[in-house]
Amino acid sequence: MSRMDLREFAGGLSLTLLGAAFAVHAGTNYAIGTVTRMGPGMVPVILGTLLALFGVVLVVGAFFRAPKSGEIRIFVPLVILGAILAFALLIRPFGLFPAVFACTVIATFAEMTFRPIASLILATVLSVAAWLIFVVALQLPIALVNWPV
Amino acid sequence: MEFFANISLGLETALSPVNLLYCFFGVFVGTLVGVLPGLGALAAISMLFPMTFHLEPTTALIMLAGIYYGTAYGGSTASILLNIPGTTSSAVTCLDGYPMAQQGRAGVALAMTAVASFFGGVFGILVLSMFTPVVAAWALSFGPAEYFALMLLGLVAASAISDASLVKGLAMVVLGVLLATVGMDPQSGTARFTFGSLSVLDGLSISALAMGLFGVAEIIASIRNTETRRLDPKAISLRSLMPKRDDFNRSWLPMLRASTIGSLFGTLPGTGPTVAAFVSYGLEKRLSDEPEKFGKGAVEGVVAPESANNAADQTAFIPTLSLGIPGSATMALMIGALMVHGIHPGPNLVTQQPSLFWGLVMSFWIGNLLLVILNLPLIGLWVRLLSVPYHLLYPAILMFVCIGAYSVHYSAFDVLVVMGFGALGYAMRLFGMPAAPLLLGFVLGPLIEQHFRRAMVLARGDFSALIERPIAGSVLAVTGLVLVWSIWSGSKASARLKERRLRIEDED
Amino acid sequence: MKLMSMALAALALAGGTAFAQDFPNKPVTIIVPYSGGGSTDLVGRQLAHELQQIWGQPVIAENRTGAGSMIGTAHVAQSAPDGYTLLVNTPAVATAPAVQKDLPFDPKADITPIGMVATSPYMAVAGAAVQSTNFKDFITEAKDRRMFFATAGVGTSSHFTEELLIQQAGIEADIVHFSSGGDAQVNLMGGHADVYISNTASVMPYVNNGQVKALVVLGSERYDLLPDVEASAEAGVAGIDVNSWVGLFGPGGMDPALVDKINADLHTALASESFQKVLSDNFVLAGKDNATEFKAQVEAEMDLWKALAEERNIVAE
Repeated sequence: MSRMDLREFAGGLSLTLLGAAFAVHAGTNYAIGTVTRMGPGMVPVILGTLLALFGVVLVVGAFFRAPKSGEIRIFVPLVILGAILAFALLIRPFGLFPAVFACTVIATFAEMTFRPIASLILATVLSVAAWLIFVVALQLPIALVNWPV
Repeated sequence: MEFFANISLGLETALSPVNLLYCFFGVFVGTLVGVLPGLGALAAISMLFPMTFHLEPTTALIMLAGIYYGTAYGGSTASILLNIPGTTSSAVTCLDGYPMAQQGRAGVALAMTAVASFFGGVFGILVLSMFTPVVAAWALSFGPAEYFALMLLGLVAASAISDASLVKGLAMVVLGVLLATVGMDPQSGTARFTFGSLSVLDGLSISALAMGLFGVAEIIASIRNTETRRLDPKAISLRSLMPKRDDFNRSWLPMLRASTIGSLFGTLPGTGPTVAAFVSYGLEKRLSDEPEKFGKGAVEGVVAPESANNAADQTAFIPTLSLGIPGSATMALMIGALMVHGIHPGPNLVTQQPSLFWGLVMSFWIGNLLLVILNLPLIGLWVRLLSVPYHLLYPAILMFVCIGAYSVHYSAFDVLVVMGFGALGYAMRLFGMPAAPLLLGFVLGPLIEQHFRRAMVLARGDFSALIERPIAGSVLAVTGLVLVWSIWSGSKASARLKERRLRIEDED
Repeated sequence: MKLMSMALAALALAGGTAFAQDFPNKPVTIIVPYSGGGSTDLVGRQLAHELQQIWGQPVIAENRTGAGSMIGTAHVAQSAPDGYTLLVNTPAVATAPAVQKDLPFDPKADITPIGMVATSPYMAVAGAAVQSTNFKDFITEAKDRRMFFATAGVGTSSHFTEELLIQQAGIEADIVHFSSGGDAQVNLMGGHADVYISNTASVMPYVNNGQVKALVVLGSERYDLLPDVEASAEAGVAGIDVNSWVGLFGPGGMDPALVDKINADLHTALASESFQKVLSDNFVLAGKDNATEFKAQVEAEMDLWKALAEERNIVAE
């Protein structure tokens, strides 16, 4: 009980802010209506407020809890999310091969060991696998290589 | 006597070489598509839909239906092995399936899933073949008020799904409902939380949500994690794959209850297998003598949702075929396949097209049998997947997730949604907030909101009119009882836990 | 995006007729802004199939669903006006913009109407709770007991035609929005709601199965394909002069020569035996308009529904 649980505090605070954002945005922009004739804003306002209250409960509770240990990763999530982002940005303008290739190569960086040959081989193998499974076997209408007009 | 005549007519139709071939083709494609995360029955059926122009209507439907219930068999595989739901309805299976795999019981989980899926499927087919007209008439008596009451019951029954603290669980349900309000409000046409973007006008994609929250977050947490144990391929013997007698003893009652729940939800258009899976899991956890084992690899937590979603997949054909009302976009394609041939499903379908109806029903038996035969030998293969080093496996999973998300609407935005939910999912893990209740809120929240608002219009704003309706009123009463009971049993459980903790402290 | 498509339009105009004669020299995509299996999807897929025969190039029907057809429509509006991205849509192309604000395109300027594929009147059907069997009795009944009109969603053509009927018949009624036409009709069958209006293709399967009652076709005359169903004007409800249709569209600013060429090919496709069968199966007639007539009709409907939305206060806040 000597120190508070900072992680719980942050989690509760995030929920409070998120809930308040939902409630305030809905309350100012959408009609609330009455309980029997609910407008589009009613549910977001009520639930946003509720979420904010749950967040407050967690924040208060955090002062009476011992901190929990456990690793917080920053680099790995950034790399993985970056790999997905690369796929999303490349798939429509450039096609399947560039998107899978970029996604795979970026994702391998999450290992924190730089193995260029291995990651290039893996990217090639996965590109071919993606082509075989999704385009050849499942006949999805996805362009393999595109050049944006 | 007529019943047996129908059955033999159906068998004759279903066992014709052409139909048998397409049935096998359907369930095979279904299993494959189900295993791949993000790619669901809808995508697979849309792809093969043009084929139905050239097929007999019965054959076309047998094939499409095979894909449909085949995905439910395959969907659980990725849930158990990788903690990534292959289909949304198998997301609940992650909760206990993945812990089982981590304990080296992946083979058992997969085998019990196949058994449970078969059990649920067969149960659903029985309901379908014996009670279709009765059930269809009964489903008609469900208006918005009844749906509202039932969905509320579902939410309350399934709310205890997670292990986390009550506040965190409830907060995640609420967050799920809030996220589901994004998009155009069907009652007023107002665009909620879209900030002018057309991509979110139709709401956030549920498969993107499930893949991000479960799949991407799982990858982030597992990379270079010493705890992510890899399996020694030599350790996989046939014995370790086989469920034990104890697994069966624990499972048959949950399977029976879950199949009943699944059959119920399947018959009601618009609710479906995902809700059924959640509710049956929640119910089993409540009824169990050892609820603390759920979420840590309880076999009941795997068989219940899998029986329920397979039963629901089969009974979903009741409103589709006997009312001509599709319960989902997938079912709309089934009706479309018949419409191409000038057949409009409705109350007269069973009498006017007996060979179609009974042929289809009998093909379900055959298809489910084929699925078990197909899936049991595959288990050994799937389990070997776990022996692939993770640094090779995760880029592949990531690729499947990306392409799967993209292929739903061919929209790069859906891939970005996966990224967003991946970030949220990892943050939630850090804060110790459970993902399953969020998905539950996301699925049930909009149903509850929309049905309530519709019911209030139909009751002209009079809340008491809602309670006075016999079905809606009784379901709401049951909901109240469940709520009271769960608060009471919850406080008893926490008292018990406190007592135990005190005793341990005393012993210290 | 806007600038680019305008530049392309200018290019297309410069290329003129030569461009139109050359069309198509690569695969064409027809966007269907509704999910598979529905009546518009069936017509759209058949059209793609027939045009592929005529053009000798792959014609792909792609479903892009959502927001009352506006997601697929916006996609086409933002595509290059070269004829390689087309759209099939219903009067939703006019009704949805009347309720949805902030659409990222101008429904008149950014969409080129090419031709009507199929047309049919709107039909009102009644559910289990409605006693009357003809339209005149129904109006009396509706004045006696306030009815519930079920729609396929806010801003759909069912929503707007119901508002129009309520207005012209001089009755008071409540509108209930369901999630789809099927959902609306199952609630009619269960007696939870009373009336639903849609095109013949959507309601006739249920009428033929005896699940809902055909009440009336909207308009001044009976419909050739269903002569037993009375027209709304017969019961003295006048001023409803709208029909349902499925039309073919392209992005805004298409070369008129190209539009005329596609319109002509559309009519060739419609004349084929297989297309005629699809149309008659769905109780619809083939469209006959040239592109100019169709454009005039679509724009007139856009004005009509916009005015009705303001008059009856059905614009979303």
